Amino acid sequence: MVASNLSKSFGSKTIFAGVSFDIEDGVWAIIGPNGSGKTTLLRIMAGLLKASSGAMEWFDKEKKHERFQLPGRIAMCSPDLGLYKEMTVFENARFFADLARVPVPDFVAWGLSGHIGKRYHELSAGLKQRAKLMTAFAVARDVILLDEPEQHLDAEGKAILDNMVSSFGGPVVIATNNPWKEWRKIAQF
Amino acid sequence: MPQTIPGKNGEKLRSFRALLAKEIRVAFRGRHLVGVGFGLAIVLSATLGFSLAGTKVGERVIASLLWIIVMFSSSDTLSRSFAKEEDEGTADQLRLRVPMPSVFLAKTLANAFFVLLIACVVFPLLCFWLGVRLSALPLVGLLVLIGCPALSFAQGFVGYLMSRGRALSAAYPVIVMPVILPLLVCLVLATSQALAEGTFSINLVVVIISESLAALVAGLVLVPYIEEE
Repeated sequence: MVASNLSKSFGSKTIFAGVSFDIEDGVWAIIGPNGSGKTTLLRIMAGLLKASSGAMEWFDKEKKHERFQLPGRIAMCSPDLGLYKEMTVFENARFFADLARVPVPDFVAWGLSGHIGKRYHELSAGLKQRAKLMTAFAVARDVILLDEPEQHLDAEGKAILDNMVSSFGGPVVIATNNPWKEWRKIAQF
Repeated sequence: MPQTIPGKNGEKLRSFRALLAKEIRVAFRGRHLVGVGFGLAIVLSATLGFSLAGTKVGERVIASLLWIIVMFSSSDTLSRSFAKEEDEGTADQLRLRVPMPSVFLAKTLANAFFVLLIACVVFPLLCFWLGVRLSALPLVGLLVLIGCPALSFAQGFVGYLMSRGRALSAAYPVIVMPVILPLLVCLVLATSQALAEGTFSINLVVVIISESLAALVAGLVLVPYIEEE
């Protein structure tokens, strides 16, 4: 994933400008205060949003993927992205696994085995976050983008997340306003 | 990292089947389709049935009532479904996983099924209250089978467009009118001919099918452009 001189503006307000990076395998962090454009940058990286200027290249520089050619390659977990509240945890996981053509995720590993029959809207905020993270990790094929992934998680949830991030085979990009502890150990800046 | 399950031909079908099943599951578990869609269909059919019972009602009036009730009961189901996905952040989840034309097609087909179910409630009630001749039922039933998907296909792209430009949602009736009006007129004319058991113009059926398919294809072609912008 290569970004060259990216900028994003909404109307006359410039969110960020001149952002360039080259992301390969490993864990990467985007750290900044609220409103600094972390989520916007992640959405551009996911292909959900178009940059105002600059270029974003995905995967194979020779092939030059366009945004609409990305579906299925990037997974993302963000406060803005939800699951279906009318469906149970199991149905949500199976639905997204079917779309990604991967097996249903391991509910035990995420501590959700006792909640698979509950509808998504019946879960607590922490369990909702676990369900969203589980779905994102289950369907992630090449890259995973995590926006404030520790939001609402308890100590057990954070430990599971750390373990999943460390064992993921491809690039993991974490956006957070909390430049603290564990991510510093594993993140490349 | 998970490995994709092999099997090229079945993969897209599996994804599409999952999208269709999700649409049906979410619609039946939500309150809108059952509460508003079926509720409105039953209330309108019963109100008109009681009001007009015992009076001689012409075929064209019965046909108009049938299609107007079906259209009003199902008019915002599809646009609401698109808008709800945007509001709850599930639309972006889908964008990350599948091309949006697949989502559009699954939603439109699922909505065609819902419109057909609503018509299955309205049609027998009106036939019962307004005394439709039994001999006319097979042809009218066939028109309902063709007309419900046609209505859904015609509303599909406008519903999608509304969800992308939320400021436009107040203008939904105005924007959908030019698309839906010719179709509705053809459906009313064809149904009234079928009810009268006189001369039946197959040309009307051809127009209905052609217009609805054109609307569906236009939607499938235009969705990627709207997404790109």
